[in-house]
Amino acid sequence: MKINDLIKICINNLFRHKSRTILTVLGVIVGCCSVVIMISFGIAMKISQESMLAEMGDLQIINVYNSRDDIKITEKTVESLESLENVTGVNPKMRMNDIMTSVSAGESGRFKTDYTNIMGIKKDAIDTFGYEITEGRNIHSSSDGNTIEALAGKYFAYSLYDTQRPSGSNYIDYWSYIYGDNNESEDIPDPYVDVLNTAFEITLGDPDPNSSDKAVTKKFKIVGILEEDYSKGSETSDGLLVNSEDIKKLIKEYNLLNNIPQKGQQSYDNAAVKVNDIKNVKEVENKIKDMGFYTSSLESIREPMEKEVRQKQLMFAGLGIVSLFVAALGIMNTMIMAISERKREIGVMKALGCLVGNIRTMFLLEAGFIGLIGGILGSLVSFVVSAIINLVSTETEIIDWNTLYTVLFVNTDRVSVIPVWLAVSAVVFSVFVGVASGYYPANSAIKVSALDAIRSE
Amino acid sequence: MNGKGKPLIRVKNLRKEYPAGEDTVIALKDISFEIMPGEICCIFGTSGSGKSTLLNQLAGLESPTSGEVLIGNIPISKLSENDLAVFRQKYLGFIFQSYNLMQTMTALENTALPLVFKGIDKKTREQSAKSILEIVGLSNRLNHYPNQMSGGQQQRVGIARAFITKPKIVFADEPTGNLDTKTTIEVMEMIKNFAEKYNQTIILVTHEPELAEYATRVITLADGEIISDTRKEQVHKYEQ
Repeated sequence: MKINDLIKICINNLFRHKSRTILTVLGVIVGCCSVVIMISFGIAMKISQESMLAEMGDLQIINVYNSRDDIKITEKTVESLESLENVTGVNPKMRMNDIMTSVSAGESGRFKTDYTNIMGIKKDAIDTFGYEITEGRNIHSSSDGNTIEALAGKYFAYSLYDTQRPSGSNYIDYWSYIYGDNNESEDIPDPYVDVLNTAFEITLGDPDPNSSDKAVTKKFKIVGILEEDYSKGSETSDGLLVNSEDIKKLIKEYNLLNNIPQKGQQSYDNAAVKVNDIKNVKEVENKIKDMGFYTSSLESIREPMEKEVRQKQLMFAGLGIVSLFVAALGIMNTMIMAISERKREIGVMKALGCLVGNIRTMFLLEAGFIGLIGGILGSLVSFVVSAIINLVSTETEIIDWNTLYTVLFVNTDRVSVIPVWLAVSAVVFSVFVGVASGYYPANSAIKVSALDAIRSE
Repeated sequence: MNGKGKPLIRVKNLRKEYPAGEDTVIALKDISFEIMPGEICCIFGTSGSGKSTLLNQLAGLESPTSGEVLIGNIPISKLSENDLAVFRQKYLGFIFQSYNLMQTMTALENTALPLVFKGIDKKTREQSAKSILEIVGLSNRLNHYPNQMSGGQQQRVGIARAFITKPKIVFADEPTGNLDTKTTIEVMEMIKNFAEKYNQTIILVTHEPELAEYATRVITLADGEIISDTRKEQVHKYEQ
């Protein structure tokens, strides 16, 4: 038999009992819809979990620390970290531990900080680790001569106070404007200093000339301003970032001046390791641990979170599957009824030379068709139901098409998310359920004895 | 298939038993006979005589307990289900008592159904269906559904369906059981004309003695045995 003849016969048969076909299809629609909606809850949960984790920091970054056992991060460590499989970048960081660092600017050091957090990094890491430069440019690899290049944290400018103003009104407390000490919705004043166009000096050690501590002072200029990102360190907020090489030179100079003995090679305080894919984080982290370092990554948070979400997803999917199972029973019931009604026809077809395979195909097609229609309509209904759920549950006020679009398709706090693959696989799965539940009836159809069926009145 | 001189159907020691509770009912008791090509053979008997069982056996719709049925040289009881289906497509036609037309199909589609199973394309099969429906006088009923036609018309569609593949053998199972006398004569004449025109063999199963009139040979069954086997001339004598 030709396939289009088979399809035609199957559609004719479906139209023969319209109400029964419609009811069966309705069962599939409900089943398919409940599976899709349940899974969409799981997907939405995963999306909001991921966006939450992303806010906490980069999931692909492992932080490596010096361990208690005197295993330090050195230049060599950095090289071996870089050579690890799936590692795309290493950012060794160096602080000026135990040394006071302060900054001054303007004529005879008019603008000052008492303490500034200065972090040594690798220049390439700005790109690989996703630091965002909002103004200016990145630093060059090493500072030639006397002027060090630095990147400033977003609010660094506000950390400078004016020594020529009376104490009490010589400092712009940026955070009080944000967090309500200054309740009135005043505009936040500009900082005293335009940091990109000002020459700075950095001072290591106590600047007080009477102190026993001999201070080192170096010129530097700020070439760029960073977006604040606490997951990368507080220096992106109010500190400075310079090349680690510059930090090394400064410490050396300070130690020399103050007769502090140099203990071997200078080591880094910690290093951030970027992995090419979230799924490789665990493996790389274990390798680094094996090297003897302490590590931390969001993996330890992500994994149990993911596990929990997966459990919930399974639970939801399980609930959905139950109703699809009921729908499958509906299809089976319809097919069994259709076959017992059509026993005679099957017998006649057999007597007229219809291959048993064709008879089976006819019934499987019919069941599959019910699944297909139910699946397609079920998916469409799911989109509508999902949209309604999201509209009801959202906290965003819908004022125009844009916010509506955001609520339905963009927000990470959506309760129900149906990706295209889910809708497509729901249709495919419904067809599969249809064919599978038609399988037993179809096989009983081919066992119908031709003449018995024909003779039965 | 066979040439003229050789028998077309050979039944050898055919036996069929059915389980009936704890007993066994013997529907056919080791019967043997041969049917020549072109014969219109009436298998005559009351209900329970085994004639339906014999029809099932001849058409390969049931396997025998023992013995065999050869059509041409093919032992049909040994064919697989699919081979049998293909065999039926090629060589056998069926006419049923209650017409058994597909209710969802028009007269044209019903007639063309055996060709659908053969995988013949729509245009070709509808052409043959049209021309054969014309022969049975239904060219004005092509697009009627079975429930829009009288019993006689439905059976004429049934006849057209049976002969559309030009089969060697047509089985007619009480073909006029549901028809009045006038229509019975029409239908039987039609079957006879087809058979004579294409030298087809007809196996006519009936319990109505009138139908035997149309046969060239009458095999009478009772209790699973052949009690008489007569050629046409003898039938007339017998009835006189």
